[in-house]
Amino acid sequence: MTLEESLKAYIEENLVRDKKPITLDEPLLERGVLDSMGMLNLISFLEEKAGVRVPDDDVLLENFASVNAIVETVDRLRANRNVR
Amino acid sequence: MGYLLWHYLAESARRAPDATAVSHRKDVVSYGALDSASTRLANLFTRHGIGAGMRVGFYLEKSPRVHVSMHGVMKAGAAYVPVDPGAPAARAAFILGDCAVSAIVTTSRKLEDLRAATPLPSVKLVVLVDHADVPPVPGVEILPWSAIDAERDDVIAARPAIETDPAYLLYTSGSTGKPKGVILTHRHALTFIDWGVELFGIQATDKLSNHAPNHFDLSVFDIYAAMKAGASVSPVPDEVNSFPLQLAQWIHTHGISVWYSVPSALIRMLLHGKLERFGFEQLRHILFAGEVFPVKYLRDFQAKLPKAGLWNLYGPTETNVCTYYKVPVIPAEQNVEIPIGRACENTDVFALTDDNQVAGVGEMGELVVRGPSVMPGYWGLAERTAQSLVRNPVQPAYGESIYRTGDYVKLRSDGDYDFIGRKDNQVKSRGYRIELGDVEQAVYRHEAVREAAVVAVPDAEIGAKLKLVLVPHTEGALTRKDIEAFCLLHLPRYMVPEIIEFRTSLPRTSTGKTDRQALVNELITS
Repeated sequence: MTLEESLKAYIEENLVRDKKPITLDEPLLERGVLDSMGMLNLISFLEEKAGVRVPDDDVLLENFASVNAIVETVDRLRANRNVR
Repeated sequence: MGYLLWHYLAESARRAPDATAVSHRKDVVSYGALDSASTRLANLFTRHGIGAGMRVGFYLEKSPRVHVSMHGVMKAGAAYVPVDPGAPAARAAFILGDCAVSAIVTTSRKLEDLRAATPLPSVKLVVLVDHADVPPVPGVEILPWSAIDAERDDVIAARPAIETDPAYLLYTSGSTGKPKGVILTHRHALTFIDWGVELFGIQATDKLSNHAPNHFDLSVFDIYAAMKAGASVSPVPDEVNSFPLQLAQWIHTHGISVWYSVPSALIRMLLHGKLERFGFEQLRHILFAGEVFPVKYLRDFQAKLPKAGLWNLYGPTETNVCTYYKVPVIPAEQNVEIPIGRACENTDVFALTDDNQVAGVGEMGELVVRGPSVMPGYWGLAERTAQSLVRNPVQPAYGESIYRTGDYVKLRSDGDYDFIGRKDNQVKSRGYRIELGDVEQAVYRHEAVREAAVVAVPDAEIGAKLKLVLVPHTEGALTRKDIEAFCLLHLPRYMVPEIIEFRTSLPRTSTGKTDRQALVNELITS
């Protein structure tokens, strides 16, 4: 499973209350995913599954706005890590 | 002299109609506009026969229309019932049905969810804040928000409430597995707000944040202290709330001068919000309530925000804040938690020992509260009310009711009270009061669950995490994900257990009951 797929599955199973599927560019805020507990869960999921640490400066709405945005954030964090 | 909760708004609107009352994202509403819109809404309710002795439910996200609705309902002589907009429709429908609301203010989508959940026979009128393009409901009039435009704003047609009438009902977790409605009167709210505005010196120039949701009693202070002082209140937008850095920036750039929230929201900002980057020049007071604020984090807060006063406010929903404590500079070596302080003005507290004597200095007792801020009771629950509101044993001939908080405290020699712990099975997590039995009952509804027990795991950041120990009927028949998804459908998210463990049996006491203490002991020894 790609990160995109596992992330989508994780959000649908755990964070979307009405259990309806989400699309990759759907605003997660509007689906109620990004409340403070949802954010904590999402960050632990990324740190565990994607193996990246999300610095405080990157915990911003634009980086978590949709599944696509999160995948881009993870890619960028991984690239930064490789550069260093 | 104002004696109803909406009189604050009316008086501030008369004094300074153009001053900002509510500021939320791009919506800025003046006192004059809020007063006028809420009078129109009240007249709409009155024309539809909704007034004294009735309730109106809100099931919608924060926006200035909620403030219009609160005041509109009270001006119509009725009481409002704010329901968590994130609650599953089944829970919302239970609450709205329990207190038999006559009207609901909501959105078209949430109305659909409610209709799918359960019929609400008491509802005669629905006002939709977005659009009214929804299928008809037999016996219910559905109106768009714009319907208030046709109403008068120069006179309130309703028969006015009196100060001992309910102003609002707040539903909290209940031991029977169902939420229970705490009835709060106009007099209750005025007692608390008058004290707070005076103590914190709230003025028209202040900007109050509103972090707590409207169904949580912390929001009562934010909204009505602003209304009394003619100050502005700014609900924290959802898109900011979950992002500590953006939240810190929002407080700074919006010039928030009075912040009030549960400690966990502040701790998250302290740990992840880069507070050192912002000046917070306007921030005068930081108030917190709802759970213990660990002293190590308080000390860090003082180091980063030396100019802001920190205040520990204590009180159950049934009394709102009843004690307060101004946090002094905390020395580096201190590691005992701060006290909950002493009684607010026009409120009295003391502790009763198990044999109903007033506890002395250093003696443990259950904190009791007396005064006008004490609730008259739980909606429709006479027996439960009688357990909490009891005759004052100190002055039995007077016959007054006092509220037993269920919290153990100890009086210090300096007159402040220390909080010791809960008497019963309730825990606080992220400021929310959770009855562990509620969570168990929800889990038990899953057909594959044989046994379930929920215990609280102490957690420095959020107060407590919930641990669910589960025995399925057939081993391997349930996954963690199944049960989490099931909980999310039936419980608000803060009540969904963070830790789930599967077993083949639960420990038992000698009488055959589930041995919760054994589960708690495992936590201590593990």
